[in-house]
Amino acid sequence: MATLGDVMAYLCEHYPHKQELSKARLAKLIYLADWKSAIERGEQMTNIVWVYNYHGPYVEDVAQEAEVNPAFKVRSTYNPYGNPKDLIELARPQGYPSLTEDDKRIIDSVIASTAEKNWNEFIRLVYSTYPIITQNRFSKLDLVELARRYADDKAS
Amino acid sequence: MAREETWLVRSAYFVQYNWSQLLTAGGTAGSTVTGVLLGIKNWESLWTARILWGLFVLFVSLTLGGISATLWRTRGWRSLEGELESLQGTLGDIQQIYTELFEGQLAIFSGRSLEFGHSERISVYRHEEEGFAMVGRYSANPEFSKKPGRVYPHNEGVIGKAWQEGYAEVDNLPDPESETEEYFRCQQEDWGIERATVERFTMKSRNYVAFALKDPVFSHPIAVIVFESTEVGKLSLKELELALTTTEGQRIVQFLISLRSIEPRLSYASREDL
Repeated sequence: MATLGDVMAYLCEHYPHKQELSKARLAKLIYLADWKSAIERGEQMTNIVWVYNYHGPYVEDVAQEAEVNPAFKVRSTYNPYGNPKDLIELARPQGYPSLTEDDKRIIDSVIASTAEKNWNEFIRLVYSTYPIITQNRFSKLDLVELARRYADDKAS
Repeated sequence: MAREETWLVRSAYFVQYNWSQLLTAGGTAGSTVTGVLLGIKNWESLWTARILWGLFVLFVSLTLGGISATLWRTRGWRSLEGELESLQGTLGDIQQIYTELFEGQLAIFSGRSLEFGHSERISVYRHEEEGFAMVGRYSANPEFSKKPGRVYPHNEGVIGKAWQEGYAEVDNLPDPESETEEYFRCQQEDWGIERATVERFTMKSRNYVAFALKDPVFSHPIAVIVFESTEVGKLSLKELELALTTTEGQRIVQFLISLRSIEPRLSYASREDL
Protein backbone atom coordinates (compact mmCIF):
# COMPACT_ATOMS: atom_id res chain seq x y z
CA MET A 1 0.00 0.00 0.00
CA ALA A 2 1.28 3.46 -0.91
CA THR A 3 2.14 5.94 1.81
CA LEU A 4 0.10 9.12 1.94
CA GLY A 5 3.26 11.22 1.71
CA ASP A 6 4.32 9.55 -1.55
CA VAL A 7 0.87 9.99 -3.13
CA MET A 8 0.84 13.66 -2.10
CA ALA A 9 4.38 14.19 -3.40
CA TYR A 10 3.53 12.59 -6.76
CA LEU A 11 0.43 14.79 -7.11
CA CYS A 12 2.33 17.95 -6.10
CA GLU A 13 5.01 17.22 -8.67
CA HIS A 14 2.79 16.13 -11.55
CA TYR A 15 -0.40 18.18 -11.17
CA PRO A 16 -0.10 20.84 -13.89
CA HIS A 17 -1.85 23.71 -12.07
CA LYS A 18 0.09 23.90 -8.81
CA GLN A 19 -1.58 27.14 -7.71
CA GLU A 20 -4.83 25.12 -7.41
CA LEU A 21 -3.48 22.53 -4.98
CA SER A 22 -5.27 23.67 -1.85
CA LYS A 23 -5.71 21.25 1.05
CA ALA A 24 -9.31 20.63 -0.03
CA ARG A 25 -8.46 19.92 -3.68
CA LEU A 26 -5.50 17.70 -2.80
CA ALA A 27 -7.60 15.68 -0.34
CA LYS A 28 -10.31 15.14 -2.96
CA LEU A 29 -7.76 14.13 -5.60
CA ILE A 30 -6.47 11.47 -3.20
CA TYR A 31 -10.08 10.37 -2.55
CA LEU A 32 -10.57 9.94 -6.32
CA ALA A 33 -7.33 7.95 -6.56
CA ASP A 34 -8.45 5.72 -3.67
CA TRP A 35 -11.90 5.28 -5.26
CA LYS A 36 -10.46 4.44 -8.68
CA SER A 37 -8.07 1.99 -7.06
CA ALA A 38 -10.99 0.35 -5.20
CA ILE A 39 -12.97 0.02 -8.46
CA GLU A 40 -10.09 -1.37 -10.51
CA ARG A 41 -8.10 -3.38 -7.97
CA GLY A 42 -10.43 -4.02 -5.05
CA GLU A 43 -8.21 -2.10 -2.62
CA GLN A 44 -7.54 1.51 -1.74
CA MET A 45 -4.22 3.07 -2.69
CA THR A 46 -3.76 4.64 0.76
CA ASN A 47 -4.99 3.49 4.16
CA ILE A 48 -7.11 6.60 4.76
CA VAL A 49 -10.49 5.97 6.39
CA TRP A 50 -12.67 8.29 4.34
CA VAL A 51 -15.57 10.16 5.89
CA TYR A 52 -18.37 11.92 4.04
CA ASN A 53 -18.39 15.16 5.99
CA TYR A 54 -20.15 18.45 5.32
CA HIS A 55 -17.85 19.27 2.39
CA GLY A 56 -17.88 15.85 0.74
CA PRO A 57 -15.15 13.26 1.26
CA TYR A 58 -12.61 14.91 3.52
CA VAL A 59 -10.16 13.87 6.18
CA GLU A 60 -7.59 15.85 8.15
CA ASP A 61 -4.85 13.31 7.33
CA VAL A 62 -3.75 15.22 4.22
CA ALA A 63 -3.45 18.58 6.00
CA GLN A 64 -1.64 16.92 8.93
CA GLU A 65 0.81 15.14 6.60
CA ALA A 66 1.58 18.47 4.93
CA GLU A 67 2.27 20.03 8.33
CA VAL A 68 4.52 17.33 9.78
CA ASN A 69 6.29 15.94 6.71
CA PRO A 70 9.33 18.13 5.84
CA ALA A 71 8.90 17.20 2.18
CA PHE A 72 5.99 19.66 2.03
CA LYS A 73 5.43 23.29 2.78
CA VAL A 74 2.12 25.00 3.32
CA ARG A 75 1.93 28.42 1.72
CA SER A 76 -0.80 30.66 3.07
CA THR A 77 -2.32 33.04 0.58
CA TYR A 78 -5.50 35.05 0.38
CA ASN A 79 -8.21 35.18 -2.21
CA PRO A 80 -9.42 38.61 -3.42
CA TYR A 81 -12.00 38.73 -0.62
CA GLY A 82 -9.37 38.28 2.04
CA ASN A 83 -10.27 34.70 2.91
CA PRO A 84 -7.23 32.57 3.75
CA LYS A 85 -6.26 29.81 1.34
CA ASP A 86 -3.53 27.24 2.07
CA LEU A 87 -1.61 25.79 -0.86
CA ILE A 88 0.41 22.60 -0.41
CA GLU A 89 3.72 22.56 -2.24
CA LEU A 90 6.66 20.21 -2.48
CA ALA A 91 9.51 21.67 -0.39
CA ARG A 92 12.08 19.57 -2.21
CA PRO A 93 11.76 16.94 -4.94
CA GLN A 94 11.82 13.40 -3.62
CA GLY A 95 11.17 9.93 -4.88
CA TYR A 96 8.02 7.94 -4.33
CA PRO A 97 9.38 4.57 -3.21
CA SER A 98 6.05 3.16 -2.10
CA LEU A 99 4.28 3.87 -5.42
CA THR A 100 4.06 1.07 -7.96
CA GLU A 101 3.76 1.73 -11.68
CA ASP A 102 0.07 0.83 -11.40
CA ASP A 103 -0.38 3.38 -8.60
CA LYS A 104 1.22 6.04 -10.82
CA ARG A 105 -1.06 5.06 -13.72
CA ILE A 106 -4.12 5.53 -11.53
CA ILE A 107 -2.94 8.90 -10.19
CA ASP A 108 -2.07 10.04 -13.74
CA SER A 109 -5.58 9.06 -14.83
CA VAL A 110 -7.12 11.07 -11.97
CA ILE A 111 -4.95 14.05 -12.91
CA ALA A 112 -6.03 13.76 -16.56
CA SER A 113 -9.71 13.62 -15.53
CA THR A 114 -9.55 16.66 -13.25
CA ALA A 115 -6.75 19.03 -14.26
CA GLU A 116 -8.77 20.99 -16.81
CA LYS A 117 -11.91 21.15 -14.68
CA ASN A 118 -12.71 24.34 -12.81
CA TRP A 119 -13.64 24.06 -9.14
CA ASN A 120 -17.34 23.73 -9.90
CA GLU A 121 -16.83 20.89 -12.38
CA PHE A 122 -14.27 19.25 -10.10
CA ILE A 123 -16.61 19.24 -7.10
CA ARG A 124 -19.45 17.98 -9.30
CA LEU A 125 -17.25 15.07 -10.33
CA VAL A 126 -16.44 14.19 -6.72
CA TYR A 127 -20.12 14.41 -5.73
CA SER A 128 -21.09 12.24 -8.70
CA THR A 129 -19.06 9.26 -7.52
CA TYR A 130 -21.05 6.25 -6.29
CA PRO A 131 -20.03 6.53 -2.60
CA ILE A 132 -21.24 10.13 -2.33
CA ILE A 133 -24.39 9.52 -4.40
CA THR A 134 -25.47 6.53 -2.32
CA GLN A 135 -24.15 7.11 1.20
CA ASN A 136 -25.39 9.34 3.98
CA ARG A 137 -23.56 12.42 5.12
CA PHE A 138 -21.28 11.96 8.16
CA SER A 139 -20.88 8.24 7.45
CA LYS A 140 -17.60 6.38 6.98
CA LEU A 141 -16.98 5.39 3.36
CA ASP A 142 -15.83 1.81 2.95
CA LEU A 143 -14.59 2.33 -0.60
CA VAL A 144 -13.71 -1.32 -1.21
CA GLU A 145 -17.17 -2.56 -0.18
CA LEU A 146 -18.84 0.28 -2.11
CA ALA A 147 -16.84 -0.55 -5.25
CA ARG A 148 -18.08 -4.14 -4.96
CA ARG A 149 -21.67 -2.92 -4.60
CA TYR A 150 -21.19 -0.52 -7.52
CA ALA A 151 -20.10 -3.44 -9.72
CA ASP A 152 -23.11 -5.49 -8.55
CA ASP A 153 -25.53 -2.63 -9.28
CA LYS A 154 -24.07 -2.20 -12.75
CA ALA A 155 -24.33 -5.91 -13.44
CA SER A 156 -27.95 -6.29 -12.24
CA MET B 1 -29.65 52.70 -39.62
CA ALA B 2 -29.66 49.74 -37.30
CA ARG B 3 -26.53 48.40 -38.99
CA GLU B 4 -24.80 51.76 -38.52
CA GLU B 5 -25.76 51.82 -34.85
CA THR B 6 -24.36 48.31 -34.42
CA TRP B 7 -21.12 49.35 -36.08
CA LEU B 8 -20.88 52.44 -33.89
CA VAL B 9 -21.64 50.49 -30.73
CA ARG B 10 -19.04 47.87 -31.63
CA SER B 11 -16.47 50.58 -32.32
CA ALA B 12 -17.25 52.23 -29.01
CA TYR B 13 -16.80 48.92 -27.17
CA PHE B 14 -13.55 48.28 -29.07
CA VAL B 15 -12.20 51.68 -28.02
CA GLN B 16 -13.41 51.18 -24.45
CA TYR B 17 -11.59 47.85 -24.06
CA ASN B 18 -8.47 48.73 -26.10
CA TRP B 19 -7.87 52.45 -25.56
CA SER B 20 -4.52 51.99 -23.83
CA GLN B 21 -3.19 49.75 -26.62
CA LEU B 22 -4.51 52.20 -29.22
CA LEU B 23 -2.78 55.02 -27.35
CA THR B 24 0.50 53.07 -27.37
CA ALA B 25 0.19 52.23 -31.07
CA GLY B 26 -0.69 55.83 -32.04
CA GLY B 27 2.06 57.28 -29.89
CA THR B 28 4.64 54.87 -31.32
CA ALA B 29 3.60 55.61 -34.91
CA GLY B 30 3.57 59.38 -34.31
CA SER B 31 6.92 59.45 -32.53
CA THR B 32 8.45 57.32 -35.28
CA VAL B 33 7.20 59.63 -38.05
CA THR B 34 8.21 62.85 -36.27
CA GLY B 35 11.54 61.30 -35.28
CA VAL B 36 12.25 60.38 -38.90
CA LEU B 37 11.24 63.85 -40.09
CA LEU B 38 13.55 65.42 -37.53
CA GLY B 39 16.39 63.11 -38.47
CA ILE B 40 16.35 63.22 -42.25
CA LYS B 41 16.31 66.98 -42.67
CA ASN B 42 17.85 69.98 -41.00
CA TRP B 43 14.77 72.19 -40.77
CA GLU B 44 15.59 75.86 -41.52
CA SER B 45 12.34 77.17 -40.11
CA LEU B 46 12.73 77.39 -36.34
CA TRP B 47 8.94 77.11 -35.81
CA THR B 48 8.67 73.99 -37.95
CA ALA B 49 11.48 72.36 -35.96
CA ARG B 50 9.88 73.45 -32.67
CA ILE B 51 6.48 72.04 -33.74
CA LEU B 52 8.09 68.75 -34.81
CA TRP B 53 10.03 68.46 -31.53
CA GLY B 54 6.84 69.29 -29.63
CA LEU B 55 4.93 66.60 -31.50
CA PHE B 56 7.77 64.11 -30.96
CA VAL B 57 7.75 64.72 -27.19
CA LEU B 58 3.93 64.51 -27.17
CA PHE B 59 3.89 61.19 -29.06
CA VAL B 60 6.63 59.70 -26.85
CA SER B 61 4.59 60.78 -23.80
CA LEU B 62 1.47 59.15 -25.26
CA THR B 63 3.43 55.93 -25.87
CA LEU B 64 4.74 55.85 -22.31
CA GLY B 65 1.28 56.71 -20.97
CA GLY B 66 -0.28 53.93 -23.09
CA ILE B 67 2.25 51.37 -21.87
CA SER B 68 1.70 52.39 -18.23
CA ALA B 69 -2.07 52.24 -18.63
CA THR B 70 -1.86 48.81 -20.29
CA LEU B 71 0.29 47.48 -17.45
CA TRP B 72 -2.06 48.95 -14.85
CA ARG B 73 -5.15 47.53 -16.55
CA THR B 74 -3.53 44.10 -16.93
CA ARG B 75 -2.96 44.10 -13.18
CA GLY B 76 -6.69 44.77 -12.85
CA TRP B 77 -7.42 41.78 -15.09
CA ARG B 78 -5.31 39.56 -12.87
CA SER B 79 -7.41 40.75 -9.96
CA LEU B 80 -10.55 39.88 -11.96
CA GLU B 81 -9.13 36.41 -12.62
CA GLY B 82 -8.71 36.05 -8.85
CA GLU B 83 -12.32 37.13 -8.35
CA LEU B 84 -13.41 34.58 -10.95
CA GLU B 85 -11.53 31.86 -9.09
CA SER B 86 -13.24 32.91 -5.87
CA LEU B 87 -16.65 32.94 -7.57
CA GLN B 88 -15.95 29.42 -8.81
CA GLY B 89 -15.36 28.50 -5.16
CA THR B 90 -18.72 30.01 -4.27
CA LEU B 91 -20.33 28.04 -7.08
CA GLY B 92 -18.64 25.00 -5.61
CA ASP B 93 -20.48 25.64 -2.35
CA ILE B 94 -23.76 25.79 -4.25
CA GLN B 95 -22.86 22.47 -5.85
CA GLN B 96 -22.31 20.97 -2.39
CA ILE B 97 -25.71 22.03 -1.12
CA TYR B 98 -27.59 20.97 -4.27
CA THR B 99 -29.13 18.02 -2.44
CA GLU B 100 -30.25 20.19 0.48
CA LEU B 101 -31.81 22.68 -1.93
CA PHE B 102 -33.68 19.91 -3.71
CA GLU B 103 -34.80 18.25 -0.50
CA GLY B 104 -36.03 21.66 0.65
CA GLN B 105 -38.32 21.66 -2.41
CA LEU B 106 -39.55 18.18 -1.50
CA ALA B 107 -40.13 19.25 2.12
CA ILE B 108 -42.34 22.15 0.98
CA PHE B 109 -44.22 19.82 -1.38
CA SER B 110 -44.62 17.22 1.37
CA GLY B 111 -45.67 19.52 4.18
CA ARG B 112 -47.52 22.36 2.48
CA SER B 113 -49.21 20.70 -0.49
CA LEU B 114 -49.67 17.10 0.58
CA GLU B 115 -49.77 17.44 4.38
CA PHE B 116 -47.68 14.29 4.75
CA GLY B 117 -46.81 13.11 8.25
CA HIS B 118 -44.20 10.83 9.82
CA SER B 119 -45.46 7.74 7.94
CA GLU B 120 -44.87 9.14 4.44
CA ARG B 121 -41.91 9.85 2.23
CA ILE B 122 -41.13 11.41 -1.17
CA SER B 123 -38.09 10.34 -3.23
CA VAL B 124 -36.90 11.37 -6.69
CA TYR B 125 -34.70 9.14 -8.82
CA ARG B 126 -32.72 9.80 -11.99
CA HIS B 127 -32.44 7.18 -14.70
CA GLU B 128 -28.73 6.36 -15.08
CA GLU B 129 -26.93 3.72 -17.09
CA GLU B 130 -26.25 1.80 -13.86
CA GLY B 131 -29.85 2.03 -12.59
CA PHE B 132 -32.04 4.56 -10.79
CA ALA B 133 -29.96 6.83 -8.57
CA MET B 134 -31.62 8.92 -5.90
CA VAL B 135 -31.46 12.69 -6.35
CA GLY B 136 -33.26 13.66 -3.17
CA ARG B 137 -35.60 12.38 -0.52
CA TYR B 138 -37.73 13.88 2.22
CA SER B 139 -39.74 12.53 5.12
CA ALA B 140 -40.72 14.19 8.37
CA ASN B 141 -39.33 10.99 9.91
CA PRO B 142 -35.49 11.31 9.85
CA GLU B 143 -35.05 7.51 9.73
CA PHE B 144 -37.01 7.39 6.48
CA SER B 145 -34.94 10.23 4.97
CA LYS B 146 -31.75 8.18 4.84
CA LYS B 147 -30.25 7.32 1.45
CA PRO B 148 -30.89 3.81 0.11
CA GLY B 149 -27.17 2.99 -0.09
CA ARG B 150 -27.38 1.68 -3.66
CA VAL B 151 -28.90 2.33 -7.08
CA TYR B 152 -32.04 0.44 -8.10
CA PRO B 153 -32.09 -1.77 -11.21
CA HIS B 154 -34.06 -0.49 -14.21
CA ASN B 155 -36.65 -3.26 -14.04
CA GLU B 156 -37.23 -3.29 -10.28
CA GLY B 157 -40.19 -2.06 -8.20
CA VAL B 158 -42.56 0.81 -8.83
CA ILE B 159 -39.66 3.01 -10.04
CA GLY B 160 -39.00 0.84 -13.10
CA LYS B 161 -42.71 0.51 -13.89
CA ALA B 162 -43.40 4.25 -13.57
CA TRP B 163 -40.42 5.03 -15.83
CA GLN B 164 -41.71 2.69 -18.52
CA GLU B 165 -45.47 3.20 -18.20
CA GLY B 166 -45.79 6.71 -16.77
CA TYR B 167 -47.09 5.70 -13.36
CA ALA B 168 -47.34 2.79 -10.91
CA GLU B 169 -49.47 2.16 -7.84
CA VAL B 170 -49.69 -0.44 -5.09
CA ASP B 171 -51.93 -0.07 -2.07
CA ASN B 172 -52.30 -3.45 -0.49
CA LEU B 173 -48.94 -4.83 0.57
CA PRO B 174 -49.15 -7.11 3.63
CA ASP B 175 -48.18 -5.78 7.04
CA PRO B 176 -44.39 -6.30 7.31
CA GLU B 177 -44.69 -6.70 11.10
CA SER B 178 -47.46 -9.30 11.34
CA GLU B 179 -47.18 -10.83 7.83
CA THR B 180 -43.46 -10.63 7.30
CA GLU B 181 -43.04 -13.59 4.95
CA GLU B 182 -46.03 -12.55 2.86
CA TYR B 183 -44.58 -9.02 2.62
CA PHE B 184 -41.26 -10.37 1.31
CA ARG B 185 -43.05 -12.67 -1.12
CA CYS B 186 -45.15 -9.84 -2.60
CA GLN B 187 -42.13 -7.57 -2.97
CA GLN B 188 -40.22 -10.33 -4.75
CA GLU B 189 -42.95 -11.89 -6.92
CA ASP B 190 -44.98 -8.79 -7.81
CA TRP B 191 -42.23 -6.17 -7.93
CA GLY B 192 -39.03 -8.13 -8.54
CA ILE B 193 -37.24 -6.94 -5.40
CA GLU B 194 -35.00 -9.53 -3.74
CA ARG B 195 -35.58 -10.40 -0.10
CA ALA B 196 -32.06 -9.26 0.87
CA THR B 197 -32.79 -5.83 -0.61
CA VAL B 198 -36.17 -5.54 1.14
CA GLU B 199 -34.57 -6.49 4.45
CA ARG B 200 -32.30 -3.44 4.12
CA PHE B 201 -35.24 -1.05 3.59
CA THR B 202 -35.29 1.52 6.38
CA MET B 203 -38.95 2.14 5.49
CA LYS B 204 -41.10 -0.89 4.82
CA SER B 205 -43.95 0.74 2.94
CA ARG B 206 -47.35 -0.78 2.18
CA ASN B 207 -48.63 1.93 -0.12
CA TYR B 208 -46.69 3.26 -3.15
CA VAL B 209 -47.57 5.71 -5.93
CA ALA B 210 -44.93 6.66 -8.52
CA PHE B 211 -44.92 8.89 -11.59
CA ALA B 212 -42.47 9.59 -14.36
CA LEU B 213 -41.58 13.30 -14.24
CA LYS B 214 -41.61 14.61 -17.79
CA ASP B 215 -39.82 17.42 -19.53
CA PRO B 216 -42.57 20.05 -20.04
CA VAL B 217 -41.35 20.88 -23.55
CA PHE B 218 -40.28 17.54 -25.01
CA SER B 219 -42.53 15.30 -22.85
CA HIS B 220 -39.88 12.63 -22.38
CA PRO B 221 -39.33 11.24 -18.86
CA ILE B 222 -36.47 12.86 -16.95
CA ALA B 223 -36.91 11.29 -13.51
CA VAL B 224 -39.27 9.27 -11.32
CA ILE B 225 -40.99 10.56 -8.18
CA VAL B 226 -42.10 7.99 -5.60
CA PHE B 227 -44.62 8.63 -2.81
CA GLU B 228 -44.69 6.04 -0.02
CA SER B 229 -46.55 5.37 3.17
CA THR B 230 -46.31 2.68 5.80
CA GLU B 231 -50.11 2.88 6.09
CA VAL B 232 -52.58 1.33 3.67
CA GLY B 233 -54.96 3.64 1.78
CA LYS B 234 -53.04 6.78 2.62
CA LEU B 235 -52.06 7.79 -0.92
CA SER B 236 -54.45 8.69 -3.72
CA LEU B 237 -53.16 8.38 -7.27
CA LYS B 238 -55.54 11.03 -8.59
CA GLU B 239 -54.80 13.55 -5.83
CA LEU B 240 -51.05 13.09 -6.20
CA GLU B 241 -51.26 13.39 -9.97
CA LEU B 242 -53.18 16.63 -9.56
CA ALA B 243 -50.66 17.90 -7.01
CA LEU B 244 -47.83 17.25 -9.46
CA THR B 245 -49.48 19.44 -12.09
CA THR B 246 -49.75 22.41 -9.70
CA THR B 247 -47.10 24.96 -8.86
CA GLU B 248 -45.26 22.88 -6.23
CA GLY B 249 -45.00 19.80 -8.42
CA GLN B 250 -43.92 21.78 -11.45
CA ARG B 251 -41.33 23.58 -9.31
CA ILE B 252 -39.64 20.23 -8.68
CA VAL B 253 -39.51 19.49 -12.41
CA GLN B 254 -38.20 22.98 -13.12
CA PHE B 255 -35.54 22.58 -10.42
CA LEU B 256 -34.28 19.37 -12.02
CA ILE B 257 -34.17 20.97 -15.47
CA SER B 258 -32.69 24.36 -14.62
CA LEU B 259 -30.00 23.09 -12.22
CA ARG B 260 -29.00 20.00 -14.18
CA SER B 261 -25.60 21.52 -14.95
CA ILE B 262 -24.59 21.26 -11.27
CA GLU B 263 -26.56 18.14 -10.35
CA PRO B 264 -24.37 15.24 -9.21
CA ARG B 265 -24.91 12.37 -11.68
CA LEU B 266 -23.37 8.90 -11.65
CA SER B 267 -22.91 9.20 -15.41
CA TYR B 268 -20.73 12.32 -14.93
CA ALA B 269 -18.27 10.25 -12.87
CA SER B 270 -18.55 7.03 -14.86
CA ARG B 271 -17.54 8.93 -18.02
CA GLU B 272 -14.19 9.41 -16.28
CA ASP B 273 -14.11 5.77 -15.13
CA LEU B 274 -14.69 6.94 -11.57
